[in-house]
Amino acid sequence: MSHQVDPNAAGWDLQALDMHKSYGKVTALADATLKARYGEVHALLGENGAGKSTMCKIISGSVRPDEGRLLLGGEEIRTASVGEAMRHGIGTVFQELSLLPDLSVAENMFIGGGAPRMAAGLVDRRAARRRTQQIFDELGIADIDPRSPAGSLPLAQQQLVEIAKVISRKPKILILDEATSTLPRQDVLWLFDIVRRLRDEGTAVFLISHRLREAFELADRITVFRNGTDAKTGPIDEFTEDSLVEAMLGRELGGSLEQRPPEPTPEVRLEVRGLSAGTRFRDVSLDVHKGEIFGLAGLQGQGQTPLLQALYGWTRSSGEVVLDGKALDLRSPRQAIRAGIALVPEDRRTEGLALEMSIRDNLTLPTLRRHMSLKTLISPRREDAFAEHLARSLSVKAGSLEDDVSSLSGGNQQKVMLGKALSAGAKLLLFVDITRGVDVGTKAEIFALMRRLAGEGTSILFYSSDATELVSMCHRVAVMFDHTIATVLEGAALTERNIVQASVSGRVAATTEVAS
Amino acid sequence: MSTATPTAKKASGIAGSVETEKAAQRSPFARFTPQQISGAVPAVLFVVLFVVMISVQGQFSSSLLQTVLETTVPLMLVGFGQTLVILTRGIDLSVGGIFSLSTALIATKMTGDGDMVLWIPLVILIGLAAGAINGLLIVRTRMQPFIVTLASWSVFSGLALLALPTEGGSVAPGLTSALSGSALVPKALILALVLVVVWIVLRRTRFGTAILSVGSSEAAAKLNDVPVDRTKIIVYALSGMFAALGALYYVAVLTFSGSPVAGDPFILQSVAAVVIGGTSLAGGRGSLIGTILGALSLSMIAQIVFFSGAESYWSQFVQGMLILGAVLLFAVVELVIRRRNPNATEEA
Repeated sequence: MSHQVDPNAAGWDLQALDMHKSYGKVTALADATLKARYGEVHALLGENGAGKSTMCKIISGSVRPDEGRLLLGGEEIRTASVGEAMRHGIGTVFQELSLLPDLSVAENMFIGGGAPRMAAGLVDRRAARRRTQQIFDELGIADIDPRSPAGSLPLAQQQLVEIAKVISRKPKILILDEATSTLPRQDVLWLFDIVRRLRDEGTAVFLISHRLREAFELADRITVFRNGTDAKTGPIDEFTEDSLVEAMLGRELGGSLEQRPPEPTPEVRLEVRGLSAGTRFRDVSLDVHKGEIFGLAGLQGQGQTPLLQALYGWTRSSGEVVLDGKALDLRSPRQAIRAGIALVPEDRRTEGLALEMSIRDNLTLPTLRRHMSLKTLISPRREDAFAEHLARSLSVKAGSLEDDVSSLSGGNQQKVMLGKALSAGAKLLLFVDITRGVDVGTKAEIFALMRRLAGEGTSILFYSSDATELVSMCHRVAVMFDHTIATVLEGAALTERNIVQASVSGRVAATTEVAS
Repeated sequence: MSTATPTAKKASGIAGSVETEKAAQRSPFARFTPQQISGAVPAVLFVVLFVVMISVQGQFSSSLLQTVLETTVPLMLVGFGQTLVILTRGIDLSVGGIFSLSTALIATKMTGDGDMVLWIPLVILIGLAAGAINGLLIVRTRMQPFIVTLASWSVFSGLALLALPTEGGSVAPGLTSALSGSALVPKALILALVLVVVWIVLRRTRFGTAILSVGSSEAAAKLNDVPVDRTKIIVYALSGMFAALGALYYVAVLTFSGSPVAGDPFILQSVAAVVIGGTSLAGGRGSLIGTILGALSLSMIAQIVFFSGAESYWSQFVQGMLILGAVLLFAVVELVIRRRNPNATEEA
């Protein structure tokens, strides 16, 4: 690679100095500094709420700092809006995506300007569509119709559109805020190819990711954020995976990401026979034992999410589902909950939590009946006690249980989500990619909880897009391919390589080379 | 780009297309975009009601068409503004007050042809300013549009009562002859077509995209450097202006006098026309053309009820059923679309 990294050299191209930002009583950034050079990929790591996203939002113009200076090429600039930042050549792929769901993909591509116009200054839609298709072709994006409303695309495709939109503006500084969290591995590799090319052409790239592996694959320089400030920074070769995790946590991890769960009992808890739901998944049969963590793998869109939703009575399906020897007729989530099944959805913001309600109210919502006096009135005393107990056992980090759930960091919101599922006393938990976009610390806590629950006899169906996670957490893993279960891996066959191979080919053949 | 890229992309590409192809075979709606479907519903409704109206009346007459069109123009105009507001995920209840105030001003101040030079622009400006006040309040105070415009509806209605305590007054004859159409020159039809053209052009401007963006997702609009606050203020100002324009036509062509409560029926009628026209109350999706068809549908129901000899009370009943039916239909369409793409997120 053509670039050199010298930590002591002056001549930084972008400097964010002594940034402060607080939201009410919560300090998001305190005295944080970040420097970058053109032609370098700079990974920002840290737990949720460590300040890396806030820092990027300040640089990208979507958040205004309380204090601090931003220097571009030695000159102080102001990025009071995303547009201003863009005019300085700063382009951002936002974590929450900035696509407008009702506008077409082509309209979204040019919303910040640059749309082809006709003589009268009106947008030339046909040209805009052609131009969009051209951009997609150049970048190697297939199967996205520029005319479709952006909101109708699957999340991963929306992410691709967002990336294409930003890259097409040729930014000098590119910020990727969790841009890979919704992408399947192949698309991550595709994105990394593009990022490498841009870097070699002289672009400065900021990469925020929770996947340490991605930082090591791509970054030239790493800055670790902790408690709202830059805790450690340096070129990539100064770090090891262990030293990174320690820098992020400020303490030792204790190997809890790797520890295996206790062995399951031979007793079968869930039997599924020939379950199908239209074109989404077909003919799925599986057994989950009591105390077993059963993984679901595969490329995105192979029916993993609909399968779990069907088991929760959320998606209509046909076939046989037996829980603890009793046949279930799953027509609504209510019936599933009564049978002892709980689902933790992928998108906690839209599917699982009432964001404007307090943490306490969210925790007690599914079990309100139990906190009533005279069977009609909610007893605040009982509700408080219950919520506090739950929050403590999950170590939810919150100022007060009266605070809105929306005030929590993503990982802590996920814990509240888990708490809701657990409070109903579920025997079977359905996890839909719940660790996506969750920091290592919280992930370790969630895994510890999963192991504890499995040890207590709870069965868990765990869909994850992260093969590493599945290998370390699951007793068995079913790989879905072509909308059905292609193979079930266990024991020595349960390896990351086999999961990836089965995901792309539907089978495991020891001699074939894994495509990556 | 490395050589691994095409194969890597192909794997996910194939998976995606298999799913959509299968879905296309299953769902009758799958071939169309949501926009096309919600656009077709008001058009079909319009045609059906039109045929019913002609058959109930027993003959096709251009004077009937002219009546329907002329009685609908004020609602089309108010509906234009309401469409813009609802597209931004807002609502404007004050159109009733602005409309009433405008008729009061027109009927008391613009009685002679000589007054037109001053008062036509003035009435339009007052409408624009009244709407801008709504917009400013909504943007600056972050109060709900529903509450802000409910309050300002009351304020403007009060002003209308001050200007003209009871129904009455008159209108400059010049305005009446300028706006009234004839069988040869169907001015109402021309006006409706002008509105459609204005919409089509507007939709292709940066402002048009901004309106849809704000309603689609305000947070995302901000991230895309769309001037959210400015767009909202302009939209409410335009809504006020269109209410005033509607009042001008109403007084000049339909009533020849003002009324301090003339605008009130237009509040809910305009919302109804927008909804029947397929514009989502959740913002971001819809079309003025639908609103015009929706407004015409509402008028035609009144005509159908009149010609069928039923009591006129029935027209309210049927209009209500129509609104319910339309909303139900859109809900079904929405459901079909979501079924088709279970992974899609409504709000990112």
